[in-house]
Amino acid sequence: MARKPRRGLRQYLSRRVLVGLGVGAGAILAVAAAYITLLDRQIVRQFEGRRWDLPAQVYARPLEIYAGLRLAPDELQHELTSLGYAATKKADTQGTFIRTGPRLAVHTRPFQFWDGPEPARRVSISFSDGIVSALADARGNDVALIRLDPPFIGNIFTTHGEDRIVLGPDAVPAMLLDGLKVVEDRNFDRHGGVSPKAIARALWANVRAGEIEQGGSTLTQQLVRSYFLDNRRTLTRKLREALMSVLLELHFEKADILNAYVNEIYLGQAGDRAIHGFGLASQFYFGRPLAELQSQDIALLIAIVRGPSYYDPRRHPQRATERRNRVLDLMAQFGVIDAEEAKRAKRRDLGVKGTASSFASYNPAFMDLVRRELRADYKEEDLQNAGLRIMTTLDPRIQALAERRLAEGLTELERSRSKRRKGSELDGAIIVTGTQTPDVVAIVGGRNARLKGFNRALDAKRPIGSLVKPVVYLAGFESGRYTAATVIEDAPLTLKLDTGRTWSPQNYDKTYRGPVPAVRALAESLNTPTVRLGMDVGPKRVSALMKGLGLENAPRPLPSMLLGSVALAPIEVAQLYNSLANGGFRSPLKAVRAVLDAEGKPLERYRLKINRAADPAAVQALNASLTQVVARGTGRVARTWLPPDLVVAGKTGTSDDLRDSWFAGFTNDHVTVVWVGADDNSPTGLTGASGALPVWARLVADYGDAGYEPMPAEGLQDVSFDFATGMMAEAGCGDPVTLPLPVGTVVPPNPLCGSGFNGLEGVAEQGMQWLRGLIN
Amino acid sequence: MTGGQSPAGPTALLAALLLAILAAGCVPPDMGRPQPSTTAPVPSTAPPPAVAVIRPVPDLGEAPPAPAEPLPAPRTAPPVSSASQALLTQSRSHQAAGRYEQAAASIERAVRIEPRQPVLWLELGNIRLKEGDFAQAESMGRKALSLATGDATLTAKAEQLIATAKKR
Repeated sequence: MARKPRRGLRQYLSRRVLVGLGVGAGAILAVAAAYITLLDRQIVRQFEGRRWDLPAQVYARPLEIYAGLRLAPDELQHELTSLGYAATKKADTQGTFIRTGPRLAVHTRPFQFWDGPEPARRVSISFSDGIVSALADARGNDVALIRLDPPFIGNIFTTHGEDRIVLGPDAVPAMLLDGLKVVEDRNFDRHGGVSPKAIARALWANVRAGEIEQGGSTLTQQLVRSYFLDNRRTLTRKLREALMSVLLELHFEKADILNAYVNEIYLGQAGDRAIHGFGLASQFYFGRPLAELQSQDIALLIAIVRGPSYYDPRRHPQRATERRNRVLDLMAQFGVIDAEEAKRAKRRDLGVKGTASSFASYNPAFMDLVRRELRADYKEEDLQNAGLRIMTTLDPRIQALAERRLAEGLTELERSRSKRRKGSELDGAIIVTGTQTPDVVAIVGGRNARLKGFNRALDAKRPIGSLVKPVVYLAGFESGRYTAATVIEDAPLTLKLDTGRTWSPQNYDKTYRGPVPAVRALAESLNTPTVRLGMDVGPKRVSALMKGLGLENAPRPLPSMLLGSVALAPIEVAQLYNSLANGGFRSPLKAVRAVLDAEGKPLERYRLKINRAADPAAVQALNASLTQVVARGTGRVARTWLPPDLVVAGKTGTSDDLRDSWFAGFTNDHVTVVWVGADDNSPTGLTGASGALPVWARLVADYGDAGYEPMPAEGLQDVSFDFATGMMAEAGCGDPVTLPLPVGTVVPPNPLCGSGFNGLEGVAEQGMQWLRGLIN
Repeated sequence: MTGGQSPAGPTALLAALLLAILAAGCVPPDMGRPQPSTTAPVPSTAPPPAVAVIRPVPDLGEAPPAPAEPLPAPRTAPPVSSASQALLTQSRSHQAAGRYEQAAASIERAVRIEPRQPVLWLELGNIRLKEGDFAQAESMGRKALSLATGDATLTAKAEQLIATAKKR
């Protein structure tokens, strides 16, 4: 029976094969199922995470207005305009104002602040001589204080740091959605994530080598691809994308997927800021919100989708125009717009405004500090709530002034320098803070403030040179053994170091002036008296004081530290000088005042903290001495730019070989630190006075601040003495300076002064000093 | 007769997907997204020399002579401005209701308007006392004291605040 066994064999075999196939298929299925489940979880998490990932809105300081505030009507108008307030005939709706000469009638907007709601109000603000003279409500009653809504300065996604303009479904024009579908994925509404028809068509079009009208990727696939920053077109990647697209479509509605696409898709590059989403792209290319775009603009954005670099309208305008017009044709062909509209649109220019670099993040240096503070001071889970509002200390007016003065100042320095020597390009940094508060009001990270690059203000650690000297003298004053009038020797000095080597610090000009009062040694930045004083109080004491004034780490207490062989970032210098300006009280510098949730409830509020870091009386004496730096010392040239009656306290700083040029100082209202140098650390030929100081002085002159005002302190008394010698001075004899000295300090009389002597004796005295200097 | 179900459905789907992937590979690549290059080179900072000889160069141009300085008039603490007064009033009503966070926030606003007003620092210190933050209460007291020189009443209040805070 030949058949029977063959049938049996076939049956046996086929059963075997079928079982084998079944088992094999089962195994494949199991693996596939596990993999698919994994992908499913991933894509759902991504999609939902992004969907609810609303950016945190960041605000600058609110302008508080009260009678007596130094504010010019133009400045107020500028603030209102930047807040989007409209100048109208009747300020009868929120967000409007009327300007009539020196008077503004404003209808403010309400805002939920961290300390409570500020209601909308109608107020009338009068000015006189650059000061608010009166503040009244609609009925004419005096108003003590009003607070404007704070200026919006940007979005940040606290989780991934990028920024977007997120659009809800109602904010997206139908023309954009229809256009996208027509150009990129005609079958979007019907397919299940991947479209074999589209793929086949694309394949066919490729084979024909004609123009590619549609890619093979659906919008869903493109969305999935944009979630995972990977341009590797490997097979596994493609499989993953395809599977995830299918899964996405199974989980979510078409409308949601399309909306996510509109907010997610990569559309351009501004420096190292990636432009994602049509909302941001509309601002980036046209400077206008998406809702205001016309058909040719929308067509251009759709055209860019296929290749933001290849079809960059700024770098490849012809290519971009051709593709845009192709898109318009398609839109007409499929009825998104009518043929007439398409014809008109094709004739219009690209209409792209601005440059890529000008769109780079606003205030990137300041936002950098905001991000760092959020990471350091707030819990990560709290920051992931949607719609947070971050209230900061930024003063947009000061920020704009600082950016301008740095850029202009560096250009001028290079221009005047090129006549004498060539050198590396200069760069710089500026930090501005309050004086009695730790508010950081402005940060400039480099001469090109728009660029989000290396943040020199926060991260460029450079030797501070003579900027350290105020701390040395403060240590001296605190010890009780030195006053501003104490005479210290300015003469050659040799120290024996612990290492066995000797150190002979010299003055820059290699000359010595003999006995000088401490204030003069500080103002003229003389090295040998500083080292003498510093070694007497001890480098350890000076180092501890630096830490007390706000440095994170006490510098190594070496003798060279007394002359500033310490490398600090500008913000660390700002912390030191803020503590001095704050009367010897240390308060950690802050850029974030409060974080509010979407309802306006404070998540966490920074509480003002201060700590006594130095004897307030000693600090008063020091600050008064620092006014002499600009009045009589190394900072004199600043008086070229400062208003004649503005008193400022400050210090020049120059590092070895003239690599770093610093000036740090304060008025009554602001502490300002300026650094100028070369990124490659090469010598610039600039000193603190010739490099940083001109930038500093011009900026401070812009502020309109009140001058530094000394605070009377317990145990101090103002005494007049001769700046040059520390002896008594009288009118017509010597150069009298008035500074606070401890009560009971005896200032020796000058034997060459007194009634009867005239200026000739003064000359003789100077001759004596010169002689003394020669001998020593 | 059949040992297991024929896996025609899923296999076909897989096959279709594989085909999709292969075809997708033929689509012209997205020419986009250049790698962002750092816009500015990260500068190197040479380590500072162990023993530095610093030579500050006063740029001695012709500067006008220093003005004569009159002796300043004796000072007492200035009266509280109306803006600060409004915030003080607001703060006190918050304090009465036990809302110390908001009470402090009102004073902190005032401090930015009138930073050298010792009355404000005293108020803030007292709020910290009520909140139990004695270290900060003492610090605020010291700050108020440093601003109150010459004003006997405020000096006394500041010393009292410091003493109270130290006792806790």
